Amino acid sequence: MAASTQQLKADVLVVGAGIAGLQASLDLADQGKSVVLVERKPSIGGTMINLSKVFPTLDCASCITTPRMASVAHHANIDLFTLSEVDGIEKAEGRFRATITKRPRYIEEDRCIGCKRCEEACTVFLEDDFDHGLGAKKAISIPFTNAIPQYPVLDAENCLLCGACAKVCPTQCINFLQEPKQVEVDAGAVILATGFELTPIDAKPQYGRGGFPNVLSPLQMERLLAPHGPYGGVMRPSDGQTPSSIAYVQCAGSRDKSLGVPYCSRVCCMYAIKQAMLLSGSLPIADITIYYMDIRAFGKGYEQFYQNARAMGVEFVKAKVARISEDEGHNPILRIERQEAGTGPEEVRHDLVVLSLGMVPAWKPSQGGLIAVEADTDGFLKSPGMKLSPALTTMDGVFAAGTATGPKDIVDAITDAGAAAMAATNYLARTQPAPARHLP
Amino acid sequence: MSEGEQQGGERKGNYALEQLKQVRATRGAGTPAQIERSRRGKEMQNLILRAIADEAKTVPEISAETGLPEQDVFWWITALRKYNRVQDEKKRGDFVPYRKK
Amino acid sequence: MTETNTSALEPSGDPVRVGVYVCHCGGNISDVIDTKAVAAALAAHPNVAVSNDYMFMCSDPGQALIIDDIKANHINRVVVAACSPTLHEITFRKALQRAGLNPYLFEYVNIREQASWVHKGDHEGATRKAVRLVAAGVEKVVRQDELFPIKVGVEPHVVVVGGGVAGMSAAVALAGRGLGVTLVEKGVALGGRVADLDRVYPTEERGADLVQDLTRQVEGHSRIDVRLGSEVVGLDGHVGKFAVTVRTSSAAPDDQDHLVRAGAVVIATGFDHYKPAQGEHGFGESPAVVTLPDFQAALRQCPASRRGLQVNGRPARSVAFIHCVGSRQIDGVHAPQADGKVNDYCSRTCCTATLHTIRQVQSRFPDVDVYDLHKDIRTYGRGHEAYYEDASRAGALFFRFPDEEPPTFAASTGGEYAGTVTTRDILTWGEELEIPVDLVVLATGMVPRDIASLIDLRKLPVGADRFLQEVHPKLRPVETGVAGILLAGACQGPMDINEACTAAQTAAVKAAILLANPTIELDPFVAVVDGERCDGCGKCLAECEYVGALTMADVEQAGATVRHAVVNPAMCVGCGACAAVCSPRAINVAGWTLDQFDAMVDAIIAEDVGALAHTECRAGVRHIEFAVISGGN
Repeated sequence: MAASTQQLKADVLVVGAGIAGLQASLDLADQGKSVVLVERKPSIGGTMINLSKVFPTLDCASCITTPRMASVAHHANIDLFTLSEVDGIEKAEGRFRATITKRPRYIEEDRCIGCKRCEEACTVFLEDDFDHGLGAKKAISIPFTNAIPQYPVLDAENCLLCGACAKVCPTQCINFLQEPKQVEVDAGAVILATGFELTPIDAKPQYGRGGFPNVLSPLQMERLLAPHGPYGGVMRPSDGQTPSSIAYVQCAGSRDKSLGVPYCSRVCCMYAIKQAMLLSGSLPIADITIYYMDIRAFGKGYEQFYQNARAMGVEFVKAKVARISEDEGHNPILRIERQEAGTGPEEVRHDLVVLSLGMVPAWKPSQGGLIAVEADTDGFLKSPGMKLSPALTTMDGVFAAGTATGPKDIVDAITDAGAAAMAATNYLARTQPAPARHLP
Repeated sequence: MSEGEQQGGERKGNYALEQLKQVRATRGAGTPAQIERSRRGKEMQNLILRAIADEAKTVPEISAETGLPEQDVFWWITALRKYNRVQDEKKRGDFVPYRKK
Repeated sequence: MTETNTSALEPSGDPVRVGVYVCHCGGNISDVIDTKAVAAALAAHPNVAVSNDYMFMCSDPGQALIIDDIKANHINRVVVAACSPTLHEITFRKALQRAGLNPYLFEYVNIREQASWVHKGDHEGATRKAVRLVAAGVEKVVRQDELFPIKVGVEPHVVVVGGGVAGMSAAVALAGRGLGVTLVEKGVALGGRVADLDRVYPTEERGADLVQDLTRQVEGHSRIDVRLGSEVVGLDGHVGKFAVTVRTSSAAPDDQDHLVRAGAVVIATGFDHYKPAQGEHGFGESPAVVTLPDFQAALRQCPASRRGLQVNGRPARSVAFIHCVGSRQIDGVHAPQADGKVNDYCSRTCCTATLHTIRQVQSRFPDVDVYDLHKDIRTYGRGHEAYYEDASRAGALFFRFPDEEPPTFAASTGGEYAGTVTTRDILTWGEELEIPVDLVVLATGMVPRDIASLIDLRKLPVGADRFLQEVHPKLRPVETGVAGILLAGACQGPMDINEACTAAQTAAVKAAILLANPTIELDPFVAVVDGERCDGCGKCLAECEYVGALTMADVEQAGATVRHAVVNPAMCVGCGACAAVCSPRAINVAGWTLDQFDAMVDAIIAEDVGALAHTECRAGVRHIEFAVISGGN
């Protein structure tokens, strides 16, 4: 194994190719810095590429993300590793040595032409993680339409080894014997853009622990709203019915000490409002209700966006949702306590409910692996220079971008990535003797 | 690392078969649970496709005809729709009828 | 410096073969427009060799379609019908370049904003309109000159306007990168608004310490030239090479103006506190009504003593904090600002600032009764929510007033307290409450600084909220519409210290990218003179608004000396005012010639795309390349 380990040297190692990692990589590479970018999923793009449209401009998420994905993939200064895990990063003599495992796709990338014939031929249907289980994929499939790179991945766990894919492959690129590859990177600085996950939908017993088919996570709703989403429209997973009454439960995974998430996740108010607006566009006769505690529309143009949603007829009800159950027709029933004009608890029935889940870190230092930086009490990376040097972590030369240091929306994550790239650039200028080109 | 040797040039037609033999020998071709799941999946696909072969039907209609739970029917419709085996028809009320392609 | 533009006529000889690509824009277009029909209609155009539609043209596979057609199908002109060119024009030009085609042999037709979004209810009409717009794009691109970017040598120096934490952060970051910086501050000291703050949330550091930390870094940097008591009064030139006039009023009269050459300019002019109108919640009518910044200053000066909290020499036993003063205003409820508009935006920082202040009151003066009157509590940031919880736990009472009914204050004469705040409270089912108070603290929001004179220097874009406007919040979040002029901090919108420093460092990285190479490339869409047609009449000169962009000069032509218009391509903005008055059509904006416009109009009014004439590769298509514009003086 050791003999085949690929060795690379770079100015900066960026971990995570969501929007923050992509932006940080571009902001470094465009200055002439060499970057190794490592993504654990088969495609770059992170959570953002999974979204339908984004607030407050309502641009389609793909239209903002794919050009950056393409720029990263084509950039002469960026080496990209997908389906790859950073096993560990050690600091020694002012440099960072990272070991990376590139997991097998079971196809040979230099042969594959992305024709999708393998995917068509495969007979094993699986839940599609890109559609959060709502849709299907095959045991060999290209992760999604505009994935980068456009290579299929064979799910070895679920492949029945029937060989149908290999039979139809015109370039004979399928390789069932492929092994993981080791890569070693020697970098001058590190940017952690490890991102977030939603608070688990099954965390709260009062909300059914994820057992109700018509109680969705917000990312599932993003997929229903997305063009070419799993259903071709917004329908109920239980029976394919077009809902006429949809409710959002705000703070379903935030500001909740019982979940260990006492903080505000910053994005849930805005994505709920955005989805509500998109829903009232695609289902003009549907009633859309948002049950909330405080509407936190704090970003540039967000308050105006919120007021537009109110003017469009989205109903905002200040209420606590104590419990969710369902009837025999899988209609979710919300037990609510209104704060305005309260008349005691009441039960309301909706066709479809979205739990506005919050953000938790995708990688926590307490998990071990990766790198020995410290976490704060909220589980996200600690920011020792929060006010003036927001990109710093507890290790010199290691910087954080995006939601690694706490919930952020896309606008803030992108700006944060620029600051991380600047901090890493200046760290290199201080610590690495090689002078920057042309500058005095 | 057999992979390194194979990259580049033409492969012989039965390379995959050789590989599959090797992998099946070490790993087995699916657990009994996976094989059962696959069999059950094919069965549901066939039931659904038969139900909508001549006439477009909604999820509740297919469910009533096949006896399969609505949620399972809808998931398979989604799967078959994605891989071009099923097409949408004009919406009837709150439901989309589906027809075999 | 001499800027000549070499304009050679060079027919390429290949037949004109246009590729047309119609994007679905993930439903944004295809939900309304029949993109297949548009592609099919354009296929009938005699110059169109390939016409396709695709879900996301901007994606990698979408771009690959174009590249493959250029290579395999010998496409030599490309039209993409998609979203706004501000989003993806550069994306596609780069794709052409990767395929080995001149990136300007490309036309972007916006059928989203100009067709699908504005004709949502009329699918057929929108589709017909899209066909005509795309046909016009084809007619334009077949007449497109082969253009080359203008290359400009860059000054490795940046002018940062504003010496608050954002400006200082940007300056330190840029200097660390090896760039020279001139930091221009209007006041007598660095530090801006943060210097006024006692403790900052959520780290509880002292504002003065933060300022001192940054000031030390600024002053310790040999590459940073700090100009206090100074303002920018001139901003000429262009990205890569601005000429910035910095005026220091305190200097000797003949030494006040200092010219700085800079490749980029970072604006970090910050914000002002909203000043409540006379009578707004009783402001200006009673000494018992103060703003949050004034209260913070008073709190800082109030000694800890058994006399309790004293503000302006009066005891404050009961204090009401009112949120959203000057923010989240509603038309018809709030009086408009000077420009006739209300401040409908959220000021982002005041909720946490208020609760942070409440916590200071509670911990220093636990006997003070605290009331918090809000619409929503927006303690969104890391560590912010704790202030809300702690304030509530320590006994602050929270009331939520309806958006349309802000609380009022009435001073009392001779009562026990200074007055009464009256509010309706949603949390107790709309009950009207009267709260006896000694003091009302108005959580005033942020408004942009008055930087009209700076804005006017380059017509900088300003949003409806009067803050400086970025090009796009996600694609180009710190760039203004003027290339090379960047935004840092609260001049762009309300931000706290952390956010302002983040934005500043992002602005710094964008400047560092612009100035990373000895030359940068500018779009070649500038005026070009056809020497054979120019009769030297000078009408164009009278129309040109941009100093140095256009001159009249004697040039040698066919053995004779003739008077011609001459363009400085780096100064010309390509506005086309000159082309509009030139009757012999001698001056044209490259890439936007009058011949192209004529053909586009003909295509738009044509009934049938297939009936449009085939355009041969004509001698009229030129190859336009500019000399490098040097850096330095």
